[in-house]
Amino acid sequence: MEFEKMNQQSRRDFLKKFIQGSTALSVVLMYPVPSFSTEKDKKKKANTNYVYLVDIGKCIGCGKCVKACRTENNVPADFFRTWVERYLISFQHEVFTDSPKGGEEGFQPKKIKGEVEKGFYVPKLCNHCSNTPCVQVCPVSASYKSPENFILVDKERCIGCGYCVQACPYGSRYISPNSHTADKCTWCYHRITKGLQNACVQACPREARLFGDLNNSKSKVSKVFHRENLMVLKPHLMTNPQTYYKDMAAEVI
Amino acid sequence: MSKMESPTSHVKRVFILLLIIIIAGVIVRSMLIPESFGKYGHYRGNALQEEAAREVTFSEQEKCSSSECHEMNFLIKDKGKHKPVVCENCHGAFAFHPEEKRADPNKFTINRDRSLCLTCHRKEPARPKDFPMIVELEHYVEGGEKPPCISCHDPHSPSMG
Amino acid sequence: MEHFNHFHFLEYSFPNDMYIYWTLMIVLYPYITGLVAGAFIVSSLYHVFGKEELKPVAKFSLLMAFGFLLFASVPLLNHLGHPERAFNVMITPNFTSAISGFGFIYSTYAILLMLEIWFVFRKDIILYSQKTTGFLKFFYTTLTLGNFNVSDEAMKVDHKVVTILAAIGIPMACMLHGYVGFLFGAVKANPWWSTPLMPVIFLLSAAVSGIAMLILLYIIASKFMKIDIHEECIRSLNKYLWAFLIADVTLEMLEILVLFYESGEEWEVIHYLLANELFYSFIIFQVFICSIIPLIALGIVNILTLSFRVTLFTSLFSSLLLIFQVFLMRWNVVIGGQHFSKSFIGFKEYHPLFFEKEGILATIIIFICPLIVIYILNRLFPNLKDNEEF
Repeated sequence: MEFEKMNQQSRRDFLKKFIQGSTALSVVLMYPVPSFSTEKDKKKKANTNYVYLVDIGKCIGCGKCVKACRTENNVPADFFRTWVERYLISFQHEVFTDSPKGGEEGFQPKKIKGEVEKGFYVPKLCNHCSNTPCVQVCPVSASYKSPENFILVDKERCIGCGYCVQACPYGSRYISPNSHTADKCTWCYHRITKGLQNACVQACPREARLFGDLNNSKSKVSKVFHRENLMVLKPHLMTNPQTYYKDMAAEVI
Repeated sequence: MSKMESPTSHVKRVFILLLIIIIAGVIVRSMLIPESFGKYGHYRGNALQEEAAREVTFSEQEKCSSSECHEMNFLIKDKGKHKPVVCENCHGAFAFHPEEKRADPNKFTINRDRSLCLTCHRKEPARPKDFPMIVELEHYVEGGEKPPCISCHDPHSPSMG
Repeated sequence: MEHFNHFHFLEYSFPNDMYIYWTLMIVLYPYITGLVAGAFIVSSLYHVFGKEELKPVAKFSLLMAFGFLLFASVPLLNHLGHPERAFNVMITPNFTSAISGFGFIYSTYAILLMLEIWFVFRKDIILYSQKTTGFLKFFYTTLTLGNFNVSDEAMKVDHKVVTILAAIGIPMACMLHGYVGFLFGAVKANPWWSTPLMPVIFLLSAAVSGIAMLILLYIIASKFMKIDIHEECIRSLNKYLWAFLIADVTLEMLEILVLFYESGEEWEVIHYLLANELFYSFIIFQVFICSIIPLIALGIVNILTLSFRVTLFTSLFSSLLLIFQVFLMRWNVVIGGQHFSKSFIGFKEYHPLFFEKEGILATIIIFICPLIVIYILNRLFPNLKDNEEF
């Protein structure tokens, strides 16, 4: 009697397991379908619209932002999550551009052919494009867009193929020689989620860098966003960058 | 070799073998998908939390003001022209320096060099014209000597007027 | 921004663009994949389209395709920052990525090729399992899967299955290689890569390199085994090689011509590339030496009926040049596209070292491995001698 019961029990167990197993198998078989469930995604999207504004007219090229970024994010030497470019344009329309050490140590005076007619600094960083080519090409879903539209890299899954580095039109990505994975500006996701400012924004003594949520009417960016003459880098590529530049000259690449 | 053997039996056999391999592959694959994958989108959900949990090292300057150590200097800076310059820009990022300094009092030195000031204030054609800049050779030359900037300017509140 | 033509930009690269991220390994990877696709096309010409004159190499080309397929992913693995995570490409694929297709296309194609080889060699395997002893007997017996049916009906079934597999294999081979071209062609950030022609050019050059390598290996193997080379087979291969070469070179030149004629913003940087970094590797070697010479040589032997000795020599000579031509083409695409910064006004050189991880020695080793495997496969499954026909 006892034995029979046990036998029954185990049979039931087996049946249960079999059904569970086959359900799991069918789920597994159906799994590799990209999720088009918009309903679900909508829930996951945060109600924020973060943008980064760069005011070229204010930048003095001190490079404190590059330094702050390197300390905050442990950026390996010779690679940059943000950098500052200097443009010097002569009367003959000769455009001299440089970024020694990413501008980290500031800029030394530079002689160019002819008088400098126009000069300015342009801080660069990841544009966190809405229509980003880097996430599109990542084969293992290691590059992803967070619910707040930050473009981030999962260092545990990245295989280091370098396709995203090739796909980024702005040179914002690199393969870190330390982790052998793709690395890039995170807009200081870890600081923003803690209620802090991005390291580069905080380090800027001239408020040339601004970051905030456009949906928050109290934020500084929401106050200037529609009033200023803003441009994005390489707009013809339709990547829809979320890093905007104020008063950007045509020479900026 | 039996003559009864169906001419397609080997075909069935190889395709059954193939099916078994594929099913085994699919099962192994399903076990290797990270648990939090797809939680927020088509990526490993925990990666987001890991990213958010990263340590902050470039600290907030409010911390300097609230501490007793640097309150004085902070108040001077807060009233002067260097108000927007965060402490770390000149002093480095020292999020953990109270502990580290206790361990090694000689660890931190203050950069009093002219070059630090000139990083921002050297005259450069690319800099905005409204920013205070000096031509190093023309600015305060007395007997060819170049005294440190801070002998005239208080670095925490540099204007002299 | 090149559309402001009156500006004269001085050289500047983005600071993260100082490195060549895709090295010799990424040159080798599409090259080996191309050899697979090319060899498969030849075997399909016989198995699907019934080109009887290609029968002598029909089996050999399958083994050749398989040998190279086994090593197609090795350069990629050597290049990855984390090769141990390579299977992530199948575990958590991102289907908007061209590379994510690789895992699935590659393994499906490998299965298909193995199946086809099994069906093609099934009779031989059963024969050997009875003739051999010891380990070899065990090896062949395992391969028979315990089925020793070689009746005429079974052989007919095999023939049908092979035809179907070969027919499926053609679009698969095209996909396998077309996708490699897509991988480059769909990078809009890079003007040297970004063209819809890229998958087609990759596919055609794959056919060229595959047929050229097949001719070379067939001639070497025949000399080595002291068997007669089939005249019809070589003449036919020459024709296919020439046809694919014409299409390939025409498209490659058309691409440049269109870029030049449009003189869009891409031309600025490509013009510089062609005049400097790629002058020797593209213009001199790829186009003039390795494309035009074989184009003319193959044209002559295909139009005029010359003696077999001359035909054979021309065929061998052209094949050698074309094997280099396609390698150079891969180099010029992969490395050429990285010679310039994304700023489009900065350039950098690439000189692979002999001993580095992704250097010249690694390339040579990875390339020799499939040749050794093909040799072993041909010892295990002899197929070139006439009396061992299917």
